Amino acid sequence: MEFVKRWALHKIFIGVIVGWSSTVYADLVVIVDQSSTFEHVASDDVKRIFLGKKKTLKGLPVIPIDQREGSRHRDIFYETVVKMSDAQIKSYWSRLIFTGKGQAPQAVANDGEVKAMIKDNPNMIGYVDESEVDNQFRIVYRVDR
Amino acid sequence: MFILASTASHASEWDKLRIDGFANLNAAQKLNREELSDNTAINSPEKFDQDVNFIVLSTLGIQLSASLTEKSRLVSQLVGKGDEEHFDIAADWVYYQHEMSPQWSFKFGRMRTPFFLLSEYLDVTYAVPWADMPDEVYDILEPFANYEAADLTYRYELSESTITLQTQYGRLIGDTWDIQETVSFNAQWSDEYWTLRAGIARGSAVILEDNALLSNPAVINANIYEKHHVIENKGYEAMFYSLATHFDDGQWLGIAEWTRLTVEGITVDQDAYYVTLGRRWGNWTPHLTYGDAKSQDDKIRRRNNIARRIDVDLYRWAIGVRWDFESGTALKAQYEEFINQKPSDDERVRTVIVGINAVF
Repeated sequence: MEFVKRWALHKIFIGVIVGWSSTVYADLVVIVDQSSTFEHVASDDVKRIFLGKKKTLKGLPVIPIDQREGSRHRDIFYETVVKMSDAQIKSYWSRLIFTGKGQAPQAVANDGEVKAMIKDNPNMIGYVDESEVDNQFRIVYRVDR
Repeated sequence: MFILASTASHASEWDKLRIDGFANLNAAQKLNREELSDNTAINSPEKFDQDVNFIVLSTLGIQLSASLTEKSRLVSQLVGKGDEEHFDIAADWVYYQHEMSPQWSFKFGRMRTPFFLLSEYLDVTYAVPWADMPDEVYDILEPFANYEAADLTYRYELSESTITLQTQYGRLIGDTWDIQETVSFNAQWSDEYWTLRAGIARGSAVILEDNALLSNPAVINANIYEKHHVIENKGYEAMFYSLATHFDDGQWLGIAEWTRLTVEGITVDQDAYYVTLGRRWGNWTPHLTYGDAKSQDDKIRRRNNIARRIDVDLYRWAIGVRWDFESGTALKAQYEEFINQKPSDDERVRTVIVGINAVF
């Protein structure tokens, strides 16, 4: 009986932890529209695209769609893929924006808006939670954490 | 402005109007009574006094970028600056930019001069670790911060790095010099951590009436006009050179830049450099800088009997810290000491700057 109790508590504990982690940690993926010719994009290329250092993929223009500041997915993306702090990113973009050498990617509010932007735009690329991806989109990179 | 920016970013899927801004709010103070002689071309500490001055280095900039099409836009930057008594606002930039391809872009209008590593974001102090730009290099450039020009920029992507080549043609009109037919070229290579840059510019410098050289007692006493005809209202060849590197791996930060300015005739030819090393601990970045400026053509002035007071031999060291306490906002504190070794004994001026730099 004691064993069953312990087993049940253990299960509940794991369940809580798993449930908690799935809400705190999203499984982010980088996606394009199904009509896009982009297939697999390397981690370094994803980083360079979102920093405006890489403007073409396979000879075609590539346009990153970002998420706005304050978005949890944005925080995870910049921490794990771009590996720059908020202050570093801000300094980096201010050097480009105020010299006319670049513009930070257009940023939208959430995964839904990223998908709305990318849909039917084969040159666009964005990051969303994997659970948001349906057959209209193709995953080109999985964010490893 | 925040509301306007937010509205603008919702306005259309192509962000037809983008509004970005920066601000520097500084309190600066000179800690001793000594003053630097006029020869140094170092302006900042001479603007300070021994009372705390809240406006002397304060700047507010608003940049409006209006997309005309997907490939072309108009960019304007309004900058307000404080001097000892006033706060004036001027349109520093207004230019048209067209991106012919992801590699080629063209700009035309009034824009920042691109001669040195940081000259294109001279006022955006948030983008650098210091509370003030390195004086020995950048104070010379201050009257020529903006000019009317045409710019052609080429970006080439290598597998893990980018090469940028930029050329400009324009005219620089400062308070005391009019530098005509200025042609500049710079090349930059950057990868994840490193940036290497080399720049060169050439122009024809005409002395304007209120140039200090024309009223400098040393020049007048030497009877330059009649005896040597060194100063005439003609174009003297002016050259700018710059070599620079920038390193940032997220933890260590290093910036070094060497510049040379030469002008034909008795006008000072000056070499200057600074080296900065910093390290990040979380949101804190302490840093240390050494800078030096020295005139390279003292002998020319000796030959023309011009007193030693125009020569330059100055160094500076600075210690500072940056604290990124909020998104887009940094608090900075910096202590500096300028040591001027000409015209005579060492002049030492000590200053402290505390300020907030922000981008929005």
